[in-house]
Amino acid sequence: MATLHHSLLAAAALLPLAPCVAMAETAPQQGTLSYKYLDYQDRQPGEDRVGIKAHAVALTVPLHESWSFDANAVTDAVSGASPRYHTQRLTPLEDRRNALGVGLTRYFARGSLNVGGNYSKEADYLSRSLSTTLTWFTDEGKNTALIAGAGVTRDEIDPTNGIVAGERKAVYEVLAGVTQVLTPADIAQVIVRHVRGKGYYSDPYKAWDERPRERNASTLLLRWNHHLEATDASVRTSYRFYTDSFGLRAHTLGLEFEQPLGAGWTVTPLLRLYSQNAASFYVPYNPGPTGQTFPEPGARYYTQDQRLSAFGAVTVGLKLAWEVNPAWSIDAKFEAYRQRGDWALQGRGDPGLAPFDARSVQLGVTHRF
Amino acid sequence: MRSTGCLRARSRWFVLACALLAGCSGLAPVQPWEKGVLARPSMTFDADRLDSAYVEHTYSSKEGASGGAGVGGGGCGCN
Repeated sequence: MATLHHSLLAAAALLPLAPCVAMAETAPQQGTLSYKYLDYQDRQPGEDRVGIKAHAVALTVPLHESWSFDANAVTDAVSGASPRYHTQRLTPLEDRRNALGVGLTRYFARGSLNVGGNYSKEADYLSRSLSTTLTWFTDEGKNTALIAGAGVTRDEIDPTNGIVAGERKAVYEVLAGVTQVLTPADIAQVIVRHVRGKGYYSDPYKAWDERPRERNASTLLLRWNHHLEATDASVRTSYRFYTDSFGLRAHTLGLEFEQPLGAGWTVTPLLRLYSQNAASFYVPYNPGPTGQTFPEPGARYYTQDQRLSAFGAVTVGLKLAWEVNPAWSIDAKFEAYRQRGDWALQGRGDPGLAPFDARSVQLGVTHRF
Repeated sequence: MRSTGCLRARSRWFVLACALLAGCSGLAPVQPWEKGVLARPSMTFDADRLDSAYVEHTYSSKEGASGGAGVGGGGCGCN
C-alpha cells in the first residue's frame, strides 16, 4: 500500500509561535523555559485518521533592561490516514516536520516593538515568515494600548506525488487593535486582521481539488478577561468572526474559567463553539456509478475537502496546572472535539460526510530562572 | 476576489472598533496600584503560548477559518 507524505496536514498540525499581542508593560524580569508535548488523534466512525505526536520548546530571556529575546523549536511526527475526497478512500500518510522561530523585543517607556521570524521544513513544504508588532500605550497610566502588526510568509510546495512541482505561495497580513483596561478586574481587546494571499492553495493529495490562486481573509477578534472576586477565578471569553474570498464565513466562541484551588493548583474547564458555511466551490457528496463524485462540467474551482464544507463543532476540555514552587510549574490539558455537518448555523452541512471527532492531550513543564 | 459586501463589512468592523475605543475613554482610569489582579498570568491574553500555538494550528488544519490574534508564525498548507 502506497504511503503518501501528507505534509500539508503535518504543517497544519503545529506551527511556530506568532508574536502575541498581550499587554506586557515592561521587559520580563525572569527568563522562562517551557516544554510541551502534544498527543493528538482524530477519527471518523470505524476508522482512526490522523495522529500527531509533537514536542515544542519555548525560551524567553531578558537582555539588559529594555530587551528580551525569545526562541521556539518544534518537531512533530504525523501518521495515520487521510481521505482522498470527502470522507472516502482513507490513504495512509506519515511525515515529520521541524521548525524554528526567533524574536527580539525592545521595550520603551510607552510601548514595545517586536520583530520575529520563523522557519519550517518538511519533506514537501518549506515555510519562512517575518513579522513585526508594535504596542503603544496612549496614556501614562497604561490603560489603553494600540497594537499594529504586519507579517509576510513565503511558502514553497513540492508534493511527493509529483502532481505539481515548484509551487509557491506568498501571504501578507496586517493587523490593528486596541487593548483596554476597563476596571481593576476587567481587560478587553479588539483586533482586526486582514490577509492577502497569492499562490498555490489546492491540496495536491486530494482528488478533484482545484482552488483559486488567491485567498484574501479578514478576521475580527474580541476578547474579554474578567476576574471573578467571589471565587478568585479568571473568566476568559473570546469571539472571532472570519470571512474570506473562498466564500467562507465562520464564527468562533470561546470560554475558559480558570479557578485557583489553593496550594498552587488551578483547574480550567473550557468550551469552544464553532460554525462555518461551505466554501463557494465545495462539491457535496453525490457519488455516481464509480463511487466518486465529480465536479460540475466546466467548473473552474472545486474541492471535496471536508474542511471546506459547512459544519458546526464543539470542544470541551479541562486543564490542570500546578505551580510547584516559584521556579517550576507543570500542566496537563485534555480536549475532546466533535464536528458535525448538521450543527452548521449557516448553510447546510453535507449529509454524505462521516462525523469527525478528535481528542488531544498536552503535557507541559515550565522553568523560570 | 473582493466583493462590495466584504468591503462594507470591513468598514462596519472598523467603525465598531473605533466606537468601542471611544466608549472606553469615558471610563475612570485604573491606577497602577489597582492592577494587581490584572498582572496575573491568568488575566493576560495567550499566557501559555505553546498551548495557544498547538490549539490554533490544530484547529486551522481541521477547519476553514484561521488566525486572528497575531501575525507571522509560519505557513500552513492545510487549507
